[in-house]
Amino acid sequence: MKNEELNTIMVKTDLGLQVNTDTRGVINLIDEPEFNGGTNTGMTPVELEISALGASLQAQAQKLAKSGKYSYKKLTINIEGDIDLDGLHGNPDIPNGFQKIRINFIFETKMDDKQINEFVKEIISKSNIYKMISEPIKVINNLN
Amino acid sequence: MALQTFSVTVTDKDELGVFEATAREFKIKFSSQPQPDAITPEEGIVTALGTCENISAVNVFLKHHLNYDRYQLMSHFTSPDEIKIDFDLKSNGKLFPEVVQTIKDISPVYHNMTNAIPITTMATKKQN
Repeated sequence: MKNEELNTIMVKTDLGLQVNTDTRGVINLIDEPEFNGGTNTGMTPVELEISALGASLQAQAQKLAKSGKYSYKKLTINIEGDIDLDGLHGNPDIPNGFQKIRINFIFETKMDDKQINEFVKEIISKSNIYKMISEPIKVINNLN
Repeated sequence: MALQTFSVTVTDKDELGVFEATAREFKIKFSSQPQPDAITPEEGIVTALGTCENISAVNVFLKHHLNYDRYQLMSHFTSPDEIKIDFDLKSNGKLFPEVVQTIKDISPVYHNMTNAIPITTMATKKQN
């Protein structure tokens, strides 16, 4: 990704915890399920976070395959992340985010296991989003 | 301990550079380059952080018995090392320090961005 600035505008709607997001005119609704105080009208922020991770890995896989070094017919990526809800609800002794994330790459391919493992290592090493989650980044909150 | 597992599946589509993420009954379309009907992974990550901060801030408004509808945030991605979030809290700007502290205390995506999260990977081959 080049150093162009990517922006999203997020407006809290008048429905529960629902947030309307506008990215270049692409609208998505983000919400929480009812058990977490929302109205369940869209993905949660953490689901969107690991979705972005999966999309980044898919994009890198296609880019690498285009170079001709690897080849596959189809790739499905399943991602799971565990959160302790006590931490999410403010217990200071428990982390409020993911404790662990698991990624499963499922390939339809003629590559052997060794090639697949090399491919996955290369995909991961090139994913911005993988890096942003596996290493701490700076978050700056400003008041306009 | 009340462990909750969040799961998504991201699949490639027939169109090169287009992917679909599914979590429970919800789908979001991604593309590797900006498209009129899909967001990029980088746009997805800043949106995840911004919406999480937005939802976390609701707690502050509730605590002070204030109306929290229609306030907005703008998130900016400039590099993989930094995300900026601008808050427009309307007439409630004085609450900003408390909002930021609440985000640090309860926002899971803020936690995930500012800490190193352990990630394990496995690869399997689908048998035809």
